[in-house]
Amino acid sequence: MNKALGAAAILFSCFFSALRYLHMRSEKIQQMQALGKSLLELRSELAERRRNLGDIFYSVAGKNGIDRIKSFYEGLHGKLCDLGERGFSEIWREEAGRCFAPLGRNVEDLLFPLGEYLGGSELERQCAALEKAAFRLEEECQREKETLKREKKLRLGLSLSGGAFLVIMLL
Amino acid sequence: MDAFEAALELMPLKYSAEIRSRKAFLPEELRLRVGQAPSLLYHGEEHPLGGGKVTEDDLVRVLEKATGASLYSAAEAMRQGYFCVGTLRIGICGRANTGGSGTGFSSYSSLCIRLAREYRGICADIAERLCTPRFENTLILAPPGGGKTTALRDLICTLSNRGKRVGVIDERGELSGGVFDLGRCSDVISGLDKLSGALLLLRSMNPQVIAADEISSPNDLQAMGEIFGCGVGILASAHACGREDLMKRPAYRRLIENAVFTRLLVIRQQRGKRSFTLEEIA
Repeated sequence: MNKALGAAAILFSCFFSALRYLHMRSEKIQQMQALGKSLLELRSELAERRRNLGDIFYSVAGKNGIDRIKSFYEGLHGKLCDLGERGFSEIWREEAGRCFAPLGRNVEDLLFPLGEYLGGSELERQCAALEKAAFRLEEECQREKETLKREKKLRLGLSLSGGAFLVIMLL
Repeated sequence: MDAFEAALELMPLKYSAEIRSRKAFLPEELRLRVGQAPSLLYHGEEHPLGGGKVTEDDLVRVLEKATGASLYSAAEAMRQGYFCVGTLRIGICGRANTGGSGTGFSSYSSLCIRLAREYRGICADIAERLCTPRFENTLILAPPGGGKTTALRDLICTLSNRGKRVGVIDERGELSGGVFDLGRCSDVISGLDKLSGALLLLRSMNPQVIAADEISSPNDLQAMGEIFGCGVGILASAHACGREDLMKRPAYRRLIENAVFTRLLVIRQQRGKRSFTLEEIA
């Protein structure tokens, strides 16, 4: 009886860790999608309302339910109220690094140059840069989804067979 | 916060201490030129400051601070060469760029930050004379930086506090500056060009006098023509050292010849002191 329970526990924990990993990956994809959406929101606010960036960041933060993204825009809003000696692109880079490092190097590389455009003066270039970044983020999401699909079967299969192997060895 | 403190907040830290030490001189302008030391304009002269030479990066930081890193929001005004932030008027020079929707500059070489001040009562006696026997259309003349806007602001305030309904076309918010008192009977329209502003005021606010700062473009002169003959007085300002100077410019000459303006208030500056002369146009 004890052996059977132990075997079940091993199998379950292997399966659970694989599920947890997959869940984290899909959460990352969700966050990337929400980030892309927020960039498009930023773009439309910029294009239509012609308000200050600080106000726009505040408004976009309010519309976003994902903590990481909300914190990013709130951070930008806060720092814009007191720019000090730093330029906007520096602040953007700092906040993007702080909030989006867990989403991977590709996302950071995609976001960092946006600060140069957003701190600039040409609305058309700003909007184009935001659209491009959102598009590339969407591409990145698709790639991640395909990788996740492939890995899903592999991870679950490996965890179950690994768990079964452990059980056999222990029995 | 006064204009000096507001300007100081925009400045790079390396210049702050020296600028602050000269507050007592009541500077009128703060100038930043790439490759040169910054300078303050007071007592009619520019005085260079220490702290090292100005870089283009310094100018971009100042513009970012002034617009909250939203240069695009001031682009429309910047294309005309300057924009206003509260009590400051920031003039820009650089490499002009006619294409695109930006500020009109692909790089910046100089900034001139003008500090607006309120001198209450400097034109009180002039205001009295302006209304005697009745208000006549008056054009305030002075060279750039000669105190036209300050005089106009004080005249508006004085006339308005004496009960005249003054409609103010404050195209870029420079007259009111968000903080200056323009009197109890003033109605201020900002963010519109002078022609649209004048028509709006005439239609909606029943003004007795319409005031506008720095009439210079054909559109501005057209606005004066629209107001003229509507039974509303005009109080405006223009760049010129005096009447002779003004008459050299055909568009203004037409305004005078058509009797759109019948009085000139000429501001002259001698040894840092300004004097006001009211001239009747025969």
